[in-house]
Amino acid sequence: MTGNEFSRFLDLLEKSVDREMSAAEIRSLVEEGYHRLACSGEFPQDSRQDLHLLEHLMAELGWQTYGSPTALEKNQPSMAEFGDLTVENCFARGVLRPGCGSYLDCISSTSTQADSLMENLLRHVEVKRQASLSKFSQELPQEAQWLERSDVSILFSRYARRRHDLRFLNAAFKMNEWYLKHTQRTDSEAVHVRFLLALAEQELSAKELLAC
Amino acid sequence: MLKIVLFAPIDNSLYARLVAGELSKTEGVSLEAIVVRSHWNLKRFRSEFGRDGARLLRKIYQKYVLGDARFRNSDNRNLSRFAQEKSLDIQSLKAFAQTKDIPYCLVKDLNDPASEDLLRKVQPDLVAFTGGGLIRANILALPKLGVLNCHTGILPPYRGMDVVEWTSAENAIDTIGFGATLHFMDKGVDSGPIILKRTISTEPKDDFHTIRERLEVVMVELMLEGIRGLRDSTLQPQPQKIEDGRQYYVMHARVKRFAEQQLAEQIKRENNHGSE
Repeated sequence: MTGNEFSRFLDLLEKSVDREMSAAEIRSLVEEGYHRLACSGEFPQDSRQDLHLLEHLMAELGWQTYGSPTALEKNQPSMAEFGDLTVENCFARGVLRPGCGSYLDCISSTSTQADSLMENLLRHVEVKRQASLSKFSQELPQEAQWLERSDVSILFSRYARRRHDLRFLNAAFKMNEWYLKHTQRTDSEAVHVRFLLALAEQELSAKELLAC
Repeated sequence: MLKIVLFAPIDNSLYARLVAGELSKTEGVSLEAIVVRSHWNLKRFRSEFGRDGARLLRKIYQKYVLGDARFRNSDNRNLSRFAQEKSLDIQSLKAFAQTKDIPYCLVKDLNDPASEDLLRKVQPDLVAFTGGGLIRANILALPKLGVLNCHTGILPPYRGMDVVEWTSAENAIDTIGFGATLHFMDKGVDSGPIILKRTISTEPKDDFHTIRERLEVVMVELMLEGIRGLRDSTLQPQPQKIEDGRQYYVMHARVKRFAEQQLAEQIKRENNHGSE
């Protein structure tokens, strides 16, 4: 094998080992998942809001949905919904308190007070990689853990758009690729729809930030 | 006399051989010992594979299989050409250490107790770090002046990984530029006091690979200039403010493609500007 052939072999190996989801694959995954979930008669009530938001994002991305999505009932949760979560206690020493992702999303949409915590959370995800976001302040069922992880991915994609900070979109790309395998194995429709939402948020940020 | 210990990532590192060779010709400095990280072990491979993915295989292929031959098809000003300019005749650090009668220490990790013992014995003024992983605080504290590292990016704005690509992705080629920064290492990532930095301009056929090749030469130059400047007390390390920079991480392929497009656009603009 010559040097060039070996280099091409390494290219192929890189592509097969570091399996990257293309934008087209993500679109097809989200559209198929959305249609399956939207048609499901037993769709969990708690996830209706996620599905509704997903429809809006898909419409914004120009992807196929059933008709035009109706207006969103509420865009942001109120701070009262987060109980005693604070910037100081929602993520510390690698331990995540339930609701951290949504809470930081809410805080960072209006202020910069969580910016240094966002840096810590980014470092945690990038350094620990697949082992990140695995410690919670209380025992959580598997389903709730995966919802929390997708919430952090959603937070990263939105934060990337708000701050025009590609580093957070970069991390969201990686997180969603790590989480894909699990999501394909799970039966939880709540986890499925939240993951699809995370992918749609990622693609919206990619559309905005990676356009030349 | 400025006493120096060289830290190297592998025995045949061209960067480390160039620094060793040039230091041995420099007046007023004395290369007291060479510490080299040994070949791969499973733990290190797993850790780096987790971080870098399959591109680690290319890195291993280039470093261990190709060695200096990786520069064969390049007409860039790269380390190989620089080595020719400097008439470098060192094939391995071990052989060089034997010829010069310098202690040579092969360690699994540069933070091993053997490194610490050697530094305590030699009591160097400086460690010249030419790669080989993170250095822990107990090692950083031993040389009188500190541990010198040359980062392939401009500090303080661009700390961490893949910063050549990040500079392009963030459209900062004009404002910050591609470059290298010599700094003292501290507990943080590329956050220690800055000694020297230098930017390079882009060339019409550039891609990230050719830019990195030229930056490798700048890194050797800065390391040597920095050591001379510290020897002569003409350089004063400037502390960095943490808030003046950000840390960057391994770039995802989709962001990298965007960075490549940005670089191509920038070069096109420069070419158009030059031909007007």
